[in-house]
Amino acid sequence: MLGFESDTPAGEAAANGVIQIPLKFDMPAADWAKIKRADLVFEDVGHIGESFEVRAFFNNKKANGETKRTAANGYAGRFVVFGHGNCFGAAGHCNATSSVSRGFPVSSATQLAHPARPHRRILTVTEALNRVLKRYRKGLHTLTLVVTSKSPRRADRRPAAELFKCRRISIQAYS
Amino acid sequence: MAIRLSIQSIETNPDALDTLRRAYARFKSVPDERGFDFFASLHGLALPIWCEHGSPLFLPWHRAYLYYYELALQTRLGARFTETDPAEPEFAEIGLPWWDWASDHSHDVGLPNSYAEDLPGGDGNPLRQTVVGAALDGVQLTGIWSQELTALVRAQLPGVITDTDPPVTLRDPDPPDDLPRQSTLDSVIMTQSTYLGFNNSLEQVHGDVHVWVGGAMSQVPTAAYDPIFWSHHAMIDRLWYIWQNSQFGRNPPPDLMNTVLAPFPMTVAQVLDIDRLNYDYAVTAIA
Repeated sequence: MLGFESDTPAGEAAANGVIQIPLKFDMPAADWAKIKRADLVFEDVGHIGESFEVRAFFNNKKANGETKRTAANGYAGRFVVFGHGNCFGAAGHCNATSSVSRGFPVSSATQLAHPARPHRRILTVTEALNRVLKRYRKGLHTLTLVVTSKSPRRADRRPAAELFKCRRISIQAYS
Repeated sequence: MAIRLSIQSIETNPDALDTLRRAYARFKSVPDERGFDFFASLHGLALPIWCEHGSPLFLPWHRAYLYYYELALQTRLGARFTETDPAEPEFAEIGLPWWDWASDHSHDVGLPNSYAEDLPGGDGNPLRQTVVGAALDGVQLTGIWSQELTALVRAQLPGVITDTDPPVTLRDPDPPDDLPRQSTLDSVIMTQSTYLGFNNSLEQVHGDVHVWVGGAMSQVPTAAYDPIFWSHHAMIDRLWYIWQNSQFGRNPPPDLMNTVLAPFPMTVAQVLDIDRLNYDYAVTAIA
């Protein structure tokens, strides 16, 4: 695995559901030519609130909910978080005190991981990153995330940066 | 052997659709752990929520879930997930329909008409919605939620159930052409070369369909009360089955095989072969 990661915390509420992250990624053409797949990896994504959608754009600081999902706009992909609509238990019910770091349970005794534990989300962005590296001399400099609530009623959907909570975002490239 | 057919195929056969609706109406009238309400509650409310999401158990857990749900629909489920002789032989071989939301037809019409149309009389169309809560006067109807829980759901998730008495599930679908496309399945999902990659990518598309339907389907605690949930997950299970039998298909990691898919008395290894679970998928059937 080759790559670069950013420790810039995500989840800072922003107007219009937009979160901008200074995520830098560059690679010499000879090295990039060996890459078969590149992923945006979102660690510890929260899902206890209502459902929401995240759209990712590369090197487009003007991206917002109205931006068309085109290569020209730096669109890299999207994912949906299927949410729980907040806690329905008593105090402490949804406090997952630790996240599960292993990829899968090691025994049947540990398979009941806390349902509120944050998830890892992976967005494959190979083509979008390829376009960035060809188009920009300094490669990727900004990741813009546009977050929209997926409320039960379409009329209630809104820009909702506050719904997206994530501990770390990285790019992982595989040769 | 239950043959799971596409909804589109069932819609061309009025007798098959009538049998399915009568099976659902009966299923929804069962007030114990052999009934629809109990199965819907396992995925969400009332607590505890048992479903596995964001986990390598996503696909196996939902396969076990559908397996026992189908047994119950077939009137072959006893107490505590035991199998019995069918109580009503007419429904004993019924298969859970799968909704091909990636098809051209779905991209034209959206939700299947058989699950969307409002029918007069009695429960109307049992595939369209579900009564989820007790009446406000304290008379328990077919719904499983207490008045307190119903009020909490209305407060935290406006739009998943009606404000009527008794409350029923709602939908608010997006435009049909926003559904996931077959080309996405072919290029991104079905060519995954590891189990974990396939499980993860298919779960993401699965979430897209949940929020596309909107209403109860769009949130984990209420999703399984919408009857379309079960046909959506039959589609997900079918895609897993097709991938398993493709050149890319792989088993889950060995460490996962003996994991119990709680609350069901079944392990990951025991759900890998659908032949052993006594069902199969077909596009259509001709008698």
